[in-house]
Amino acid sequence: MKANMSVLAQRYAKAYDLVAKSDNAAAQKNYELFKKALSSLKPVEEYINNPTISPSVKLEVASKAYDKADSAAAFVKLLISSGRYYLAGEIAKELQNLLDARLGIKRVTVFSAGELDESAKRGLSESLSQYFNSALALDYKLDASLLSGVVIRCGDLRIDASAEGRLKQMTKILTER
Amino acid sequence: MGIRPDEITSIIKEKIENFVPQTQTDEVGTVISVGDGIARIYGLNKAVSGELLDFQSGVKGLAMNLEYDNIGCVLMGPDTEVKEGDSVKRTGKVISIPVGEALLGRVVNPLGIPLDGKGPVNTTETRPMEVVAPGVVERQPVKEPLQTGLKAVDAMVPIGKGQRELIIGDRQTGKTAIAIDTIINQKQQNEGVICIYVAIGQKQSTVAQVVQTLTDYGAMPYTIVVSANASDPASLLYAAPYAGCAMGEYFMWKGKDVLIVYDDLSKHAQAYREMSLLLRRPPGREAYPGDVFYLHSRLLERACKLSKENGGGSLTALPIIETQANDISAYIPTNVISITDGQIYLDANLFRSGVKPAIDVGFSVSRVGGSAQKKTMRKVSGTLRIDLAQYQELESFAQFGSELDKESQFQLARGQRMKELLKQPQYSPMLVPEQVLTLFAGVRGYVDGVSVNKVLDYQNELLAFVKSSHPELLKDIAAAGGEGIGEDLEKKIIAVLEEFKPLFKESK
Repeated sequence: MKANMSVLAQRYAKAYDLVAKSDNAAAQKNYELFKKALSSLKPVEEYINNPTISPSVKLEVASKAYDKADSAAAFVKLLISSGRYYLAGEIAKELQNLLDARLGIKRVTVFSAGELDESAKRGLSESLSQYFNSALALDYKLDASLLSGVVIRCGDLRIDASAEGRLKQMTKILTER
Repeated sequence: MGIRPDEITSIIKEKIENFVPQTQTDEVGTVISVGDGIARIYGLNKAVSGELLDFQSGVKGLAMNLEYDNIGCVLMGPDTEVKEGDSVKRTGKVISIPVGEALLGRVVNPLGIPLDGKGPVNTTETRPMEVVAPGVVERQPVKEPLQTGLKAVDAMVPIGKGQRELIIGDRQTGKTAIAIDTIINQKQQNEGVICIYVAIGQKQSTVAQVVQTLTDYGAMPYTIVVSANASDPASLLYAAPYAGCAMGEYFMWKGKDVLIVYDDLSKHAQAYREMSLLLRRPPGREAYPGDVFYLHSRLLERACKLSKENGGGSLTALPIIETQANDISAYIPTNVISITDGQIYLDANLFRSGVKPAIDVGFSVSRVGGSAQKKTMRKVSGTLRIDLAQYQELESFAQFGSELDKESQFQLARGQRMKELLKQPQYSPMLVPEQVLTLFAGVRGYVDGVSVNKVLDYQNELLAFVKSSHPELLKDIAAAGGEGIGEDLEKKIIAVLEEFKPLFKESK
């Protein structure tokens, strides 16, 4: 179940994050190494997650695909030998959350119907930093169904300033008894 | 009525003109799994227990389990409309029920949505489904009677306004009949009692039948029927009694007297068990969750008689429990017996032998109703219970055909007639003065000379005689309710009974 996966992933991510202790730069480096390791292992991911293959063979394949001797390599080895490599994607997400918390960054996704120009992006970034009172890592995504305007997601919070959202509001008002 | 397009167009135009677009800020989570009426939601870290959640498809849900990384939510609508990945919004509200006078005469589901096809219910107020029961200071003791119109109940297990009296028995023993008769009786009592009938997990045909009966007897104008049928999700069955109670509390806090029937709490407990097991809460005895006692205690605690300062309203609860093979020591029956202020126990054997209502005097009790009973009734019913209990004891001896002494034979004959006198057909509740007169005739031995199978004829003819020849007597008995039967009144009653004695012919 997905919910249980995220609990497990959180535990592994927390343990890996603790390797850097209070050194934020080291934590960031570890995260980047882990991401790099995952991308190197991408071609053999299905093979590693195959339960019919013995862990020793998997470890050998993995060490050839990612032939480094850093903390990420050790962590990947641990995941493979304990049969938890299928959690790697979830762990990467959790690691990013932990790193954001260390650096005091809020990750915000802005959905818009069309590509936003630089001045719009700058304006949004400024007003959102003010709204959240924090440093932001903004990610821009396109969603044509919004028609116009933007939808902003930050964790559980969703700010809907799109034409689609307003049309929905109007539908609600017109159809309510 | 014809549709006027101009009017509709102008309403739509007005709504569009007055529409002020607003940027909406919501807390949104994601459905990670759904099935069996339960959805698991990722996110919504600030959701509170019991909060109403709004799914993308419009289905509502109730946040029940707040776990480490997900929320266990019971759906209040079809789970086929909710998909994995759907967004779920927090509403910031605990579940609230529409309440008000507009609900009277209507059949609604636990969310207040009408089921009777009579158009929308125009309520303006809502009340939270779950509230804490009024405290000690806000209450006063139960002291006014709530008449059921049934001789056997009003005489032997009297119910007071604000009391919780359990109706318990096997299937097909007349449990619902007692509750329905009590609702019907409120019309002739004319005390302005509002009635709420909560049907939990019943067949739609049964509910339709109850509604039809209430309509036929003119009881619907002061009654609300809350129905969560067998085909509804367990969450609606779970919510039904709390919703009905919230509707009743609205009237209670306005100083009115309310009667609420929960038919039945066995199915309510089963619905809660289903939800709890699907939410993976640990099962306990009979697989019910650990808090099944609290499920019913917090509901029944909301029945009360408010103090004068709070308006003096009352909420009388008649929960119904269905037993299996007369087993009142099962988990749910014992729980509800211990919560309520007494029980009316209906016996399947009595029912089969033609005793209707099939009340088992030995097992039935009213813990607080005695103090609420009218004094006139208390006087005539004083020894009735003991007489009947003694009769039941003797009855078992008599079956062996052993020779009995005169005293025992007398007790047996009296008991048989009293038992007969307490029989009452369905949908024919009686007013208190009529009950008092009938029982007076019984306990004073005026029925002793009547054949057992003619006792009810005697009662009917006596009442017809009094209504036509001495209508003031019933008024006098009604007026004496508070003081009891004095010497003068007693003489009057005896005189009328003596007058009637030669008039009653059994052969008729």
